[in-house]
Amino acid sequence: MAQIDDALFFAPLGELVARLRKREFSAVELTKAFSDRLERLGPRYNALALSLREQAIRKAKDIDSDIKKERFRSPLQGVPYGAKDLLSYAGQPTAWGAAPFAGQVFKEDATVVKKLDKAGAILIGKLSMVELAGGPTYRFAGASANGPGLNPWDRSRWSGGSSSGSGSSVAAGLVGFALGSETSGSILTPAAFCGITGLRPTYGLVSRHGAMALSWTLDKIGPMARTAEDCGLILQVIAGKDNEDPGSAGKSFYYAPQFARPFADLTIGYHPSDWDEHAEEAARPALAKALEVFRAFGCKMKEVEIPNFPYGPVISTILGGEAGSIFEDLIESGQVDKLADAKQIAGLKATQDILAKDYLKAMRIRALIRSAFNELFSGVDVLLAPARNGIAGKVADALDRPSLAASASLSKSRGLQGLIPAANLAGLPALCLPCGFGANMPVAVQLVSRPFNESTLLAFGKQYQSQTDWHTRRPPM
Amino acid sequence: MGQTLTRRQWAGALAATTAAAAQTPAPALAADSPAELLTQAKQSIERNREALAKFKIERSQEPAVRFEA
Repeated sequence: MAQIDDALFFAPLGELVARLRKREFSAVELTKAFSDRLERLGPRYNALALSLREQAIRKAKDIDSDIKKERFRSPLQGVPYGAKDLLSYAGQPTAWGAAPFAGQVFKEDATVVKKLDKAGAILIGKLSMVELAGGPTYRFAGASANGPGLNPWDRSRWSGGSSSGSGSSVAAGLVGFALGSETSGSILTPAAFCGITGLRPTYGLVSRHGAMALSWTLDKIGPMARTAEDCGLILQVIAGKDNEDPGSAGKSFYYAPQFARPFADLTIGYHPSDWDEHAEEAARPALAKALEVFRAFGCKMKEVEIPNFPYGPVISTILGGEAGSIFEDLIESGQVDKLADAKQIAGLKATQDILAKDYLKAMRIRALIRSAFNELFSGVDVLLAPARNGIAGKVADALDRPSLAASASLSKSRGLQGLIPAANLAGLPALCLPCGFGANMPVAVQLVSRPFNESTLLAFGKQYQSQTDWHTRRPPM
Repeated sequence: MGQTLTRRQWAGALAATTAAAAQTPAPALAADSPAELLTQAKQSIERNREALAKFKIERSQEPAVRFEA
């Protein structure tokens, strides 16, 4: 049996696939090695919802047969990966991180799982998540049937949510890559807190068929991986039209970094207050260095502010209204009381009070938000801001306590604060890139662009990661 | 999309439950009572309603929903 060294668990997709094709090791050996690691270390971070070792090894044997015959299917062929436990995998439990749905089984794979299977990627496990992807709200990291997501960089801190296991599993090298989902921050937050690269695609680019719905008009599925290039390769496989998803935009994505526009032709929108005032002290040095790296690309830098809208009330009303309808049975049956987080239970029950006129008012404001961002992107190509204002909090801390940054910041400028809910409301893509450390925990930036402009985000990400090595750092194991 | 579990599927579910039980437990949750939390959640919805009401928009503005027959 080939020796699989630790470095391989942190290798980018290109290296894994190249070495599989050279037959330095087989897909079965790689799958067994990753499965061992996921089963051994996954519980350490509360990251593993369900191991799929047996099915994965069967699949890996088929892949080895293909590779032997030089049938190369995709840049993901033979790579073991993990999926957030809100994606269905036929015949196996898909619990949505929630006790009331333990043992729930679907007959069909989610579209993204089917696409990855066809491309030769190997699903080795379902990864833990915040129950019901966070529902309308939650108070503690422990809001999950699998326990709080623990951060590989410091297990006393949260891995972020709601794609908690996806973030920690990639960071700890338990999977080659992972799928997460985002309604408002659930890819970007764990990617930022765990020091990995995460891509939130444009709304409608990736099918949600077979995924738990939290909000029909906000949910997106996206890759969480080591590099921007990996995210591009994964997105190319999972994107595309799906008649089974009413939100599908009918568009495909091709990762072709060779056709990226020159950086000198591009404009980055940013606001100094995000970096100097809104960010927590511990994160500022890493963020400042990241900003300097982006400046050196030769792009035009333009100061911009986020359009002025009540993003919090708008997204809460839309998410709450839709979640309240999606989980009406759960609420009315009383099964909702089996959830782990008391604030989420209360939040779900209260959604029944959201009025149609409130929901529609929020959706009318949302149309204006979309227009305002279209106008903003007539003057800039990407927005650049800290992914989160600070580092991951302690597991026991309440998530709804005022943040250190919010209480410390005396800024009169709104900068690009609220970019996560705002960009989710507008359906915009975002890329999260690790950019250093503060208090020994990862710090990250986010880039946001106009709809279906993932190529530009990935070009920035690739360039940034060619000049820095933060994405190659490994947590203490 | 739900279905009844076979014995093999139950075994998978049980294994997952066992794995979950072996993991680190959640910290104790908030001291607020369920009734207090529900009141707070309803107050939050009311605050959102007020914030939306304050935001004036043209009568002609349509919502950001789409339906295709």
